[in-house]
Amino acid sequence: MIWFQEWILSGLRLSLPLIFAAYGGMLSERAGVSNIALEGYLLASAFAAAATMAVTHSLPLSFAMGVFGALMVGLVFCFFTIKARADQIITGMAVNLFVAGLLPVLSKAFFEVSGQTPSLPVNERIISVWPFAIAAIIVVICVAFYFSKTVLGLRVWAAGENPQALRTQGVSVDFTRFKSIMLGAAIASIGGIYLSIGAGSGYTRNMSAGRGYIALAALIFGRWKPWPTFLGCLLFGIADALQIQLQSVPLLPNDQPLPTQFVQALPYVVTLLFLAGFMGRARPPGAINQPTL
Amino acid sequence: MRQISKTYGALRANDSINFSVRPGTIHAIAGENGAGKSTLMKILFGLIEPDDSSSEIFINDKKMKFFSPLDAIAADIGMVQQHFALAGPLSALDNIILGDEPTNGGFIDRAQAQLILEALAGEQLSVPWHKPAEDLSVGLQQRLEILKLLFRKASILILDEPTAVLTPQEVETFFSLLRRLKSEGKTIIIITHKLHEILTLCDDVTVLRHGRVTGSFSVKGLTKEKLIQAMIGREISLLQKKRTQLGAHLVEIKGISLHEKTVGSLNDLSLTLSHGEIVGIAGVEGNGQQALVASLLGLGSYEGTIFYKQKPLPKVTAEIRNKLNFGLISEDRQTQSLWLDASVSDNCSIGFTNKFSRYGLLNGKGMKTHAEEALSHYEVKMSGVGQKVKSLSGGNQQKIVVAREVNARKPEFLIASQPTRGVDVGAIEFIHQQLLKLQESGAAILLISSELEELCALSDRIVVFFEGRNVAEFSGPKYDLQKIGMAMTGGVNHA
Amino acid sequence: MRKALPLGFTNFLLTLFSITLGLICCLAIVALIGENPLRVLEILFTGAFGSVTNIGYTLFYATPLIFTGLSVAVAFHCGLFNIGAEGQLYIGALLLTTVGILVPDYPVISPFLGICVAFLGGALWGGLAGWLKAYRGSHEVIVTIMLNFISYSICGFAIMNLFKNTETQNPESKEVGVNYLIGGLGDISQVSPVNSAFFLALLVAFAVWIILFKTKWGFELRLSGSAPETAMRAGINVKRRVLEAMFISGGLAGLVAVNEILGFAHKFKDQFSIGYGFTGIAVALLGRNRPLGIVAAALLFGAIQKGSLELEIDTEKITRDLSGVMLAFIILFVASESFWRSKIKFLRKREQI
Repeated sequence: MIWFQEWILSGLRLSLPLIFAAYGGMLSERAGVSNIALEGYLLASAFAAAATMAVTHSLPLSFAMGVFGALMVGLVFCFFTIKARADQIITGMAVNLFVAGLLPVLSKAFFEVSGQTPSLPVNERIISVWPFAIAAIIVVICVAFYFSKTVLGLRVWAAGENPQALRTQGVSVDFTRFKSIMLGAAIASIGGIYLSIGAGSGYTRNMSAGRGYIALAALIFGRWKPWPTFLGCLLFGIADALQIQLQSVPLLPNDQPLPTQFVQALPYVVTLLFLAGFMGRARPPGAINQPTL
Repeated sequence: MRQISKTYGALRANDSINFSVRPGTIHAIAGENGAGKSTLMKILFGLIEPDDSSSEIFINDKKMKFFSPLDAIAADIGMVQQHFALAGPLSALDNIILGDEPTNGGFIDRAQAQLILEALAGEQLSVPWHKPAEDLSVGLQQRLEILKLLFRKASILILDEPTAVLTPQEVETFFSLLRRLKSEGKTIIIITHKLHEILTLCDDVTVLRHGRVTGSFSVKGLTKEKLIQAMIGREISLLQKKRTQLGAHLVEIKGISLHEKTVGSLNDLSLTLSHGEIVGIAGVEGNGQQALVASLLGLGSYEGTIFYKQKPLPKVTAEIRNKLNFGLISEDRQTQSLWLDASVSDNCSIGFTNKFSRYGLLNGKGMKTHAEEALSHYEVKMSGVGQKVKSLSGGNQQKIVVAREVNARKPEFLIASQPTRGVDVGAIEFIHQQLLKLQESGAAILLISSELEELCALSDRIVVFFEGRNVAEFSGPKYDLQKIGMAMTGGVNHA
Repeated sequence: MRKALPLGFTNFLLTLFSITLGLICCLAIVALIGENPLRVLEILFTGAFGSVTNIGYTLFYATPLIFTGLSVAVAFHCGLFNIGAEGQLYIGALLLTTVGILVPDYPVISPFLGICVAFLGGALWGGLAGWLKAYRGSHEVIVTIMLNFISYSICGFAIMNLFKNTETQNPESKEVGVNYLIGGLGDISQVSPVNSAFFLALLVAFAVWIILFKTKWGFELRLSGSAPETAMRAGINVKRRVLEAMFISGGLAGLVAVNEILGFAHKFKDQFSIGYGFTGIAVALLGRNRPLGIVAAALLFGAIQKGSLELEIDTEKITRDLSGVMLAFIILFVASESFWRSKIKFLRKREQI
């Protein structure tokens, strides 16, 4: 029984970064912009927060820099997709590549070690998961209201379904999308901050381990709607937790646990099965992945 | 508007146009497809910018510049586009208030919005406020679009081909609505190519051809001939349709039913086509025409049977297209008939690749010759068969499709859906001639068109579709448009 | 109006421009972190081309990029984003290693068997993604990314538990049979890892060109990718083409294993790929999905790869990761080329009616 409790609690913890990333992505995807760069947001904010903490030892400053890091990434993404009209998926991949390549270089330049920031002592991390959990709940509730009750939310929804509807009413689609992407980056950054100075003790190379992509899968699972996406994040987080638990549980006949590699692949297999099974008729926002004309 | 010019590459869409409208009138901008009408109005509405600074726009004698629709809306101008600009899943109410949402403490106040709109709309313009826009009928959607303009207090309304999607009856209702708006002091500009509308509804008309103004008239005392002369520059020659001998039944459709969201529904539809017969399908778009085409092509799964040459029709698209000699002119040429990124010769080879491949390798030269032969009498404006199709005009693109499916393929059965959509008058004549030639060679043609005149000129029989059924049948050569219109709206009891 | 320049030439100029811009942005970052950009540029250049050894390494790094570039390009032509080349090449390597260790080897036919098996492994992994896309409607970007992660696990397990090389602590497999190995390219292969897989890559690039642009299958593939509804109405089975495209695409990626295992290491070293799959995307993009351009782009990126390895050795602050930054910049500028084109009058496309 304790095993089960531990598993679920662990799962909830692991779903936190997914929630922030997925909701960040939701904001831009609903506006009609495919955002594969979530991984980049997570890494950038993780690095920025950890690096700032190591240097300044100031929590508020680190948090702010974390958000700022993701915003910078968002700015680059916006420039190339909105202004320069580049393909959204290619730009997303390139941005991820850029961030993944730049951060180790920066860490070597600032901290002499390529690929990680100095390990943070316990009193410089946010050990308790509660601030983040509460933040997650706030985000989920706010976003649920955002699309239908706020002016920006409604316009974002329209931008994603038929940008022409917005444009003929005199609203700039580009600017609306820009606002969504930046807001989304800010929300996703909380996930990255959690990863480096909450759950971890600093930034390590590729620490997001594909969570940005899993968050996208959760978004598809939730059909881009707030509450179902939340459920998706929880499910994937629990699958991730299972993988950790299983590594030490003797399941095989000779009392050995399952091979580590197989277990580690579990979250990805689950995501794949989901994509194979349920996908079918989910309907993405109507105007997604088409640059504004 | 003075000296308005707009160039797209080598195409002068608008060429030094001077245009003016008297307040409180209904003004028509007339011309054939591609004359530059939409472009001109989009400039007025701020969606497009004119070429250079010699262009000027004056509203009520004040010079204005429109860089975006926001500027136009601020000047009390509103525009309803030909393809409605509605966000599908959003409610009707939401679509209207978008851009100027009434708020209460930072959140949208829908209750207040509804009150405002109900007062504005009255009886005539009422729509179900909370239904998603995509679930509304086309007529209601159009009301929605007009309400958008009224909500933003437009006093100049621009309507682009507003009656394209309406039945004859709905058109009358629409006209009375426009007259009411005019009496309330609004100025209305209508873009249209329908002569009847111009002569019965409007006060003035400006005619465009090839981007230039060819005439500015007051409708009082204007004759049909003078209008046509300005629109196309010459007389239309009447189509000579020979009487043909009908052969055996070629296609027999017996009681088929189909219900799919993407193509529409059919309810127990029956229809027969004989060799050498042109059967025209009349009906408002979305009443089963697309569903019928999908069934014939094996793209929709239906119940019932279709016989082709007395044998059941296969239900797999590949089989149908590769074994039976059907011709297909699809209504949406850009996504369904053409390969925009490829050359003209590649496009002409679609469906013919077996002819040009040996051991899997394609004979490029053969494909080029094939394309040149098929297009030889079509006068397609292009730099050669190597040119990419996406850089051709709509009319030229359609010519390629027709050349391929009619002249090259020489089918026994042709499905022609909106075959002259977006094509200029000279080419329309030519395409019609090709269709008639095909008929004389013994082929059967299923002609689906939203242009009643085209149907009447070409068809031996006209069948009316309504709600997925064949509700009325009329025999040519002379047709009663009123009766056809009645049937299109379901005003006929079917046996 | 002055006659505009022909399209092909302006495309080339634009690509050159994008590469230059990318280089400049990267060097700007270099300057920001305190290294001398000109020195960096020099090291990059000599590192890639400065000696026979270096050229050999550049070609060695370019070879897998030709394969993955072709892989991504074939998928692109069918309208698909294949982000899974990384995983496909690993599964190709896995199958190759399995056969290379377990199946007895004979001269002459074994290398050919090896090539086929490497292709098959990648093809199966790609085909899986293709099947999911065509018949289950799954988003191929996420599917292929997931398959990448799963492939790392499978390969890691296989190497550590099934084929482990017991003579060392390194995570690598046993060696494959000697007769499977392919030859080198003469002197240059004595000082660098380049091998005849390079010529195989050039051959395969030519074959892909023929298949894509001169065969009926290639015609249908490109039509299915560019105008699927038209293809469907013309009687082409679009779903089949998608599956076939991913199959071939995966197979092309799998051929990377030939370069690595049959030509160089003679065994499967865990995680040997330095992002070949992802760089392949940039190669395809830069080469505009045409085999000739892909070969050229692969050579460029191979040079950048070798050059940045040199940078790691010769500078204090820069690591090999800089190649990722440079790559990303180049991708971004090439992807937004229509924007840059409109900003520079000289390069404006000749527009037609």
